[in-house]
Amino acid sequence: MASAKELSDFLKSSEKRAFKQVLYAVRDEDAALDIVQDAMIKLSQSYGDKNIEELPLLFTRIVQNCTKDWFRRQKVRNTWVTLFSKFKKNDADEDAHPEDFLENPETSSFGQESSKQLERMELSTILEKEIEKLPNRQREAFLMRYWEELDISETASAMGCSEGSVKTHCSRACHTLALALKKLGISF
Amino acid sequence: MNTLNQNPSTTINPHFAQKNSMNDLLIDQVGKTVARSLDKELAHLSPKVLQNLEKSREKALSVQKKSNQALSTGFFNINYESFNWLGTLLLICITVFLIADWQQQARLSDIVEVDAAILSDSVPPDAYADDGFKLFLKNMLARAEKANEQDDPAAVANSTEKNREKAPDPSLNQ
Repeated sequence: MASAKELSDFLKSSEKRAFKQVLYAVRDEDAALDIVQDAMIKLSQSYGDKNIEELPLLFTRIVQNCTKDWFRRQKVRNTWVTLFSKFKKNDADEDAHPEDFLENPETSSFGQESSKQLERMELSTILEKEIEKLPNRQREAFLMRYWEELDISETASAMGCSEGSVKTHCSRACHTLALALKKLGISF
Repeated sequence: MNTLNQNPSTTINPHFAQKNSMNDLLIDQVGKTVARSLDKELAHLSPKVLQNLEKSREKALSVQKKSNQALSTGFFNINYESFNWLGTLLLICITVFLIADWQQQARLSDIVEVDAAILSDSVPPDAYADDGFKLFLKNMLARAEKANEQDDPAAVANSTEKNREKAPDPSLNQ
């Protein structure tokens, strides 16, 4: 069983990363803080008696689930708004789920943007923006695999998909980010 | 004869595998580079965010789940949950025992009451075992009811005299 100190140290080491990951997904600082708090409380309440080695994967899963729950609540809240908006115009993506919303930057427009803002923006800020633009599943797989340093099987378990899917998501995310880094003059 | 030419896949595989592994290495390199950059960014979180995260952590630690073993007392090593079950079961058993005992006591007191009434009555106890006496009592009661309905005192007196003549002498049965 993880002691109080071990749990505290683990949460201290993971909270910032978890907050940033959730922030990339929900793009709302207050919501991200609420989600991280919920995840920490759930981890402590339900799995506070587990061994310290089990906590990282459990916490990752809980954060993912809490984020999905937030999206579902947002979808319910926005239902009436969407309903009224139907009377105004035909929305092509009215059936789209918020968590599946894909945003792919046009490389040509990004190239023009980077040429204007390259001197002003730091590398990390640009990377954060690129990560935010990634599709949800690619972003989840990439962050869990390379930032949280989970292996492929753990990432697949946390995401509820196959190891092949994890590799595919990671590969596509890395290609997108590599293109962004290339435009900044960083090549591999 | 070149065996490799007979199986084209063997000539392709090494290059394909090499290309794949190079791709994987590049992907890993990109991933790790981005991860390092993101780690650096963590140092620039706002004080408000850091404060909120600290409060959340403290709240989470205050509700940490303790294992069942941690709740056990050192010497007796009692499992808290099983103790609850045992106590409940014991309470139920005691309650059932008390109810059964009370019912038995009530039954005994009823029997004692009836026995006392029989023994203290003017009619001898043996009369209650006599079928003829029971019939006599039955008939007497029936006539008393009829007389009450007719509301004739003379008829009631006559009926009781007749019942006494008809009833056999209980002393003859001894």
